Amino acid sequence: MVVPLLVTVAVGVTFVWQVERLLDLMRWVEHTDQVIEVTRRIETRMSRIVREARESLIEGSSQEEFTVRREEVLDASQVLMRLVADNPAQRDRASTLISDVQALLQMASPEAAPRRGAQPSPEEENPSVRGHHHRLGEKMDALAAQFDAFVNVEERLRLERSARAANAARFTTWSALALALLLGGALALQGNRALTVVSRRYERANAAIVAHAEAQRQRDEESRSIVEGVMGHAIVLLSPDGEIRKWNAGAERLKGYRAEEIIGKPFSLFFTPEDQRAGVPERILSAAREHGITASEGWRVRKDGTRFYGQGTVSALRDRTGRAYALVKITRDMTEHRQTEEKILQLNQTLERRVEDRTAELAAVNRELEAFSYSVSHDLRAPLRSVDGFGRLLQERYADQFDAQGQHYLSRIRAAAQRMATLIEDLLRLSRVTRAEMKDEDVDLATIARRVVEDLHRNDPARDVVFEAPSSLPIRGDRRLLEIALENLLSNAWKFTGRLARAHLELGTIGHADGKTEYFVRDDGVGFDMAFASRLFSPFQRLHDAEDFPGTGIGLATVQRVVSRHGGEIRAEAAPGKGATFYFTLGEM
Amino acid sequence: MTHGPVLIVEDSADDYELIVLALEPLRLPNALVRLKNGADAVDYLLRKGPWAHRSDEETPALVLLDLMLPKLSGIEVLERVKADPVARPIPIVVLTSSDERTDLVRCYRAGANSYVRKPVEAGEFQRVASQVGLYWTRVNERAGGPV
Repeated sequence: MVVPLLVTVAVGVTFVWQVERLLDLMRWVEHTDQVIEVTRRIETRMSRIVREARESLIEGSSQEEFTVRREEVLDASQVLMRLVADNPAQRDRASTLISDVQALLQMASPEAAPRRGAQPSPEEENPSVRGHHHRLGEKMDALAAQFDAFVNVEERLRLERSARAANAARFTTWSALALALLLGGALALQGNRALTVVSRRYERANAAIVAHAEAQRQRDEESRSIVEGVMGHAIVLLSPDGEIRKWNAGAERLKGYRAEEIIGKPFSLFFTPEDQRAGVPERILSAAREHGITASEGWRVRKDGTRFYGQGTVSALRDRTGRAYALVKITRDMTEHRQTEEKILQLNQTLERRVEDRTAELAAVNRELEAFSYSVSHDLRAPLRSVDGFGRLLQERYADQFDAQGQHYLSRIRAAAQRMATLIEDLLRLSRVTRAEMKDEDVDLATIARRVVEDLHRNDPARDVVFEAPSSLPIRGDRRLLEIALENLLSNAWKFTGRLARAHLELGTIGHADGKTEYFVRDDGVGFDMAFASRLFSPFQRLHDAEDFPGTGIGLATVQRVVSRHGGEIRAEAAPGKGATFYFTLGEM
Repeated sequence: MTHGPVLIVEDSADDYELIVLALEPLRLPNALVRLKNGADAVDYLLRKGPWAHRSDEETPALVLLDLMLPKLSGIEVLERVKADPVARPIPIVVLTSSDERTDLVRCYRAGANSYVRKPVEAGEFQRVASQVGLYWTRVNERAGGPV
């Protein structure tokens, strides 16, 4: 827009300037005309003055007339001087001319005329009058020639100026035409360009609109096919007051109505009579209208009257003013889910009840076990004491009444009673390990192990046993139970290395695959066959002859209980004659 | 110095006989009195019921108390006797088969003067019983003399 404006302004300025110049030239032509006119007027007046002056020589003159004419000439002369003031050459010529005019005026004045008789007559011509008359004529002719020369110059000037003006006028005309054409062309060009831009813009806008419309159509199509194709969800379009407007295949499948038989009906049809009476459908509608979306779930009714558990949302579609013009209801059939949930709940309850029952049973069993242990502790020992006590009395007081065989039998009876007592003791210890309440305290396995080995040494000082252990093995656990475990493991190791001149026992740790520390107790004793390893930790299982290595077979079962009560595991590695190693972990308590 | 009897509260005839046999070698000057249940032991010690008029001479120098007893258990006997200011100084040694830790703790808490396990092995039983008898009847200085 700026370019045409600038061009217009430029054209205007140029045109105005040219017209101004033309007018100026025309003024000069006019000026020249004026000069010529004034000059001719002076000439005319002068010739008249001179003629009258010559006539007056004969007929007498009138002073008043001459004065008037002279004033006229002088006025005109002043005008001429003003007019030529701008042209030095003409000014000089004009001033010469005027001074000649003034000189002639002097000559032509009545005062300058020679005196004649009172009765002048042409016949009685005075010679001085005749001379004056003659000089006036000469001067006037000379002046006329001067005037002609002056006017000629002016005429030439006028001609020049006219030609210049005519040229300027032509130039102005042509340039005006050219400028107009230029402006028109520029405007046309500009207009064309603007039009091209606009049309291109329009085309683009049009294409965008078409593309947008196509995309929208595709989206609509996609939405429609999705909505129609969704089978798992019922998608229903409702009026703001709950009248059904659209219905997808999922809705038909879920609720049993075909679109044509349900559209126009209120959606409260899907609710149970109880919910309808309670105003549930209305509440859902108003919540959706107010909050934009609302979720609900509950038992709903199908066309055939059967019920399903529906879960879904109702959301509002709003126009620009925010008014809800429709509601979209999406419902999912959660019946199976709901039933599964209920079943899970039921199962959980059953399970909990069972756990409670089992816990109660377990508690009862525990109480029984405790009572049993108590009873074993008190009552089972008493008869043994009698057997052994009275057996001893027989041996001591009635020794003479038994032969060697009888004595032997008595000692066998007593040995059996004592062995039974040891079994009872070990069993009680095992049950105590199971029943004991666990403490969580800092325990150093290495210190315990050293003390246990010292005790073993004290009871069996003849043995040469080398024991190796780290300076400390700190862990968290129940000190008393861990002491029992280490006592059992180390006394086993002590026992099964009994035939060696020098035995080696070791307590240590190794890394474990699960990141847990594995502890071990190793000996270089008789070992055992790994084929029987699985029975190792069951009570009363023995892998060795009782005569060679006496024991009740409860020790490792006890160790296993201690380890498992600490959340750990125990295993053994051994070979006959090559020693045995027991590995155990101690997990979280 | 008078010798009150040694009161043996024991329901098992076998155990009573074994205790008597074990004490025999000590040749104690004290008489032996046997009661077969806890209720009788309490009545005897607190002078109640049939023993309301028991003489001071019959106050035991030592009570050997079993824990598993008919009517009142050994623990209950201990608790009642040791709660009585007059009977409290009588030394009561619990002599039982049980090595349950809970029993031991409860007995000491109830005021038992000693807790001794009856070993099964006859020789050991003999040794323990005679040691107890000897200590509590001869070595131990009784508090406040005869009651």
